[in-house]
Amino acid sequence: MSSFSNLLIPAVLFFALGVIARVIKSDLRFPPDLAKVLSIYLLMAIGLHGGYELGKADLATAMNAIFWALVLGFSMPIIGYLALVVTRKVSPMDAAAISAHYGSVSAGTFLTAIAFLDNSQVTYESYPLIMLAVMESPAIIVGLLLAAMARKQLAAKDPRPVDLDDDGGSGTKFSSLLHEAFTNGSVVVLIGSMVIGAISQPSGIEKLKPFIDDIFMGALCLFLFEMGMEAARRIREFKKVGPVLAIFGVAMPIIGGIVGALVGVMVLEFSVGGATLVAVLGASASYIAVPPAMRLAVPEANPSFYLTLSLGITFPFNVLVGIPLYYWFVQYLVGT
Amino acid sequence: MANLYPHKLVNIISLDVLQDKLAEMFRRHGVSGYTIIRVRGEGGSGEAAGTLDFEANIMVKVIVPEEKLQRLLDGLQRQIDKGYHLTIFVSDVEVISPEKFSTPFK
Repeated sequence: MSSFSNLLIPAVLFFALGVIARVIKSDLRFPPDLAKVLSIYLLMAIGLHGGYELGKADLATAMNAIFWALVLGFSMPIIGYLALVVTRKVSPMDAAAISAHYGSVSAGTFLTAIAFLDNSQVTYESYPLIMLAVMESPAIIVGLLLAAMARKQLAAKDPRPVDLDDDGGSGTKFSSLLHEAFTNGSVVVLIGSMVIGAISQPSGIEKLKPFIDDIFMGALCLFLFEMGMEAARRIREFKKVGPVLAIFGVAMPIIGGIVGALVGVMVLEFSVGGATLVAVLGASASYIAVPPAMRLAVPEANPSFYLTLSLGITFPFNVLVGIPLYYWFVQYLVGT
Repeated sequence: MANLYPHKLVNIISLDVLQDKLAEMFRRHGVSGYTIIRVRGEGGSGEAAGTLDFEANIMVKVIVPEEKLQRLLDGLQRQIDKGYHLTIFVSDVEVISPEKFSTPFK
């Protein structure tokens, strides 16, 4: 029933247009920094909006949501890592880097879900927004720990002299990576805007309405338009990752979506809309915050694996199929 | 009339995310400064279109006196050994103020 309505939302249609533009080899190019500008805007607008709502919300529920966001953020990459190691298709380093992407979240997917709910006139709580902010970082940390473990195992098998000259061991210092995980640009924009939204005068927020509400969906269309082109560029590399990993790119979001839906409905007892957003958080894979962190800290992993999976497979899957699927599953859970 | 002094220009094509790491390394090697240009291209590690942060490439240019070159290249080689994709090439250049290139920055 709802599976087609998701495809007829302008934002999703623009995503499809981006894919098509790439497939037919259109000469369409976006200005270099547009995606960056738009993602800052989108996070700022959703942060202000959500922060304002949260200012009126219940603290205990918010703390509970944060706790479960941490649980999801720390456990999803471990599930992903184990699943990947079982397939034996990738090295432990690749498995660590890929699973970090799946534990973290995609704001683009989350916003598309909001567009979907708005379009279906389903209301939702604002708590999943804090969860979005909280879930960016833990998976990066788990990914780095898994990579450090894998690196140690490899070093034990193949002892090579470790150089202590450059940066005291392999990769970059762990403390600076932790710092990076928590001060990541999108986390700062999102949490900062939420705080501003929560403590500002309601009349001030009212003045910002054209900026945070009226043009929001248009900006999301533009963002998804470009991301559609980026995703399509990755789909071409489908051959490189092979069928087993491609299946992982679809199965992992479904597992995450189910876990997220269960947490949203059973534990947090959100409405259908709110629980769908939690499911989307569980299902989505990062393609903004995690790739640079992994490129810097886990240079041994092959970027075309994790980028193709998160951006080329999981993101389009979630946008086109996943969101209505999780919505349907949450309705089923609530109904029984 | 200004004189010209032979120096080495090290060009490094690298990921945008490695910028801080390289800068830190130059500082340790007593390099006098560096210049960064955003670049796009395609190669062994795929296309670097530069639309998203994680696939933006930069070209870093460093001018060093010949005696500092080998140590710097050894340091860069160690980064490559760790798995970072760096494209490095060195060319001969002539500078008009050699003292500028022998003073470490900051």
